[in-house]
Amino acid sequence: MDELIIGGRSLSSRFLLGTGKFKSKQELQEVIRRSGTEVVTVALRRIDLAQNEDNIVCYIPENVVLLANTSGARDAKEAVRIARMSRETGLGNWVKIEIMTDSKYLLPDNQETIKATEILASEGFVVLPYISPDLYVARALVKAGAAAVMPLGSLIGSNQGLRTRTLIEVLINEIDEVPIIVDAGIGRPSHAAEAMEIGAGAVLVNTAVATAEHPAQMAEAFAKAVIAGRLAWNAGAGDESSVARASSPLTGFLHE
Amino acid sequence: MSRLDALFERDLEDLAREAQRLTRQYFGRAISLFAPLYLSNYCENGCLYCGFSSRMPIQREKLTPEQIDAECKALSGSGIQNVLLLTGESRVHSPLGYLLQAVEIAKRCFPNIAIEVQPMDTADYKTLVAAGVDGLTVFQETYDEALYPTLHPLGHKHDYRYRYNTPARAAEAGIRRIGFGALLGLNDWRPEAEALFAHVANIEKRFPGVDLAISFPRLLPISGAAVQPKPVGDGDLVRIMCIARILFSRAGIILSTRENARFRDHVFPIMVTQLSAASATTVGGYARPRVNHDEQFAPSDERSLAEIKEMLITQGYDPVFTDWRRL
Amino acid sequence: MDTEAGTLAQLVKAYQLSPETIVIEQNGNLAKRTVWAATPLNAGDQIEIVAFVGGG
Repeated sequence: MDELIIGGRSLSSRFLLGTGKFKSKQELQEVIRRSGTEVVTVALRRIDLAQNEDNIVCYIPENVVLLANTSGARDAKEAVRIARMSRETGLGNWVKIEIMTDSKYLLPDNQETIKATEILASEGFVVLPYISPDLYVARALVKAGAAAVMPLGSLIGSNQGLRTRTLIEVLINEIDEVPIIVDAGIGRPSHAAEAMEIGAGAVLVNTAVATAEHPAQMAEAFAKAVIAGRLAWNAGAGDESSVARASSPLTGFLHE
Repeated sequence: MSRLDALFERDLEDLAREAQRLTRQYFGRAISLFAPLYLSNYCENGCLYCGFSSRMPIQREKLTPEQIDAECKALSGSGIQNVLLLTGESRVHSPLGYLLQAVEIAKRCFPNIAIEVQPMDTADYKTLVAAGVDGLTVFQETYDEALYPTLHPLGHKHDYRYRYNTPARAAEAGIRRIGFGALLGLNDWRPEAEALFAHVANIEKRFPGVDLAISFPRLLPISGAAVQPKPVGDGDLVRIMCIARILFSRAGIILSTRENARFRDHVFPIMVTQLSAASATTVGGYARPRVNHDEQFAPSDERSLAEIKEMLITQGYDPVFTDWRRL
Repeated sequence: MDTEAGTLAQLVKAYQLSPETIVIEQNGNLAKRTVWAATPLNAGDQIEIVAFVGGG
């Protein structure tokens, strides 16, 4: 069985879904269903007491893991605070660490992310840190107890696909203790398939689904792309073909 | 079929082309040159296949500091800047103190110093690293745990695990480069090659900052030894070396003067990045005349350094004598 | 905010919030859900009520 293991939990879908930017909670509910996802990200926000909205959690099936992100945090301390508050809801201890001071590109602060991971992993959280792909940072995160490493494919919301492909491949080659989950920038199902084909453990997609004309259908497209990419990875590179040659310039001397 | 099995089954010319492509990509056409300097042939072990065995009635000698100095001057005078200091494995005759003294002397002549001596503890390696040793070579000889003790009945070398963990201890001590090898011919070469690759991969994973290099010594038949080789054919050796290059794209691949000139000239362009040149494999041998006591280590390629350098340049390669030095 | 509530539990009820899905910070400290009923609300208290919303 080719299951994805995160924080000791076995998942059969390698498609993680972000829940931001959807038109309505009803639409989100349908999208979750068509995506087959088993992990969705959520953010923690102050309630507007004037409005009486039902909670998003009601639209997420019970068997789907809530991955609370720390968006809004500008340093490790704030991220830790948000994570602890998220856990206090009693709805789980999975946290996606997202720490940014850069509002122009929304690039994550790798160093603060390592610090937050150290603290939260030691407090028993299942930590999924979001980073700019960097091998030393990834190693430090694994050492700190992260349950996965989430390198960005390209800038958040840019839909540009795997601009950081080479660096992601380095992480996939060198980090085998935890899954590498490509997050951010996946704009099309083909990007998701590409990420899976090169050996990523999973992908996280939000904008591309939420801003599609038909989000539920796009969710299904992504789900299929992720499956296809994974199948391709498991099928392995094709047979090295032995091209017939008239001469063997390098090893011919062995027969002389 | 696993990836490794596929590599062992693959067409040899195909393998060679990929190995060459990777070597060009990561090393260009640079070939590092080094030379061995034997300081002592005293040995406490009794390896069944070796002419230096404590049971062999050969003349034992060990260089004095003055002789080491003379040898270093002669060798470095020829142009060599990367020296491999070797001793037989003897904690009595070439203990840490003797080695440190040799390193102090060698440092005056060579920016790069590696050693191939008896396996030691991490603490001793730390001392050697601090003294200026940047490389360590140790061959496991055979990776077969059942065969190993029968071939090494005497001396500290009898301990398989201790020897196997030598690269890890050296890495922990902060050594910069480590050389691996199995003595091909003691056992069937396929399992030996696989175990060798597993050993290298293990150290590569645990100590990502260390430079790795792999040698492929082939056992030659020697008179009087109790063990005669299971011969490894030239084609098999080329195959093993190609696979090593493909598996470890940044590791040094070494070809020593044990192999004859014809073999070396055809093989080095495929995947080799380090060549020993003009080697003396007797004790000393650069300042003093060479007296060959034992065929096991006798060089087959007897070209001078100048000849090798010229051959490399003519063939379009870049002979490199040193590529870094401690400041 | 203006409220008649004397404890956190009463506050939650007053605003018709589902207690299982929200978190309350009182003066910078997490207020344990199990003791909301016994946690007094004082004048000048900084109250933060947060809940999950959609996010990436």
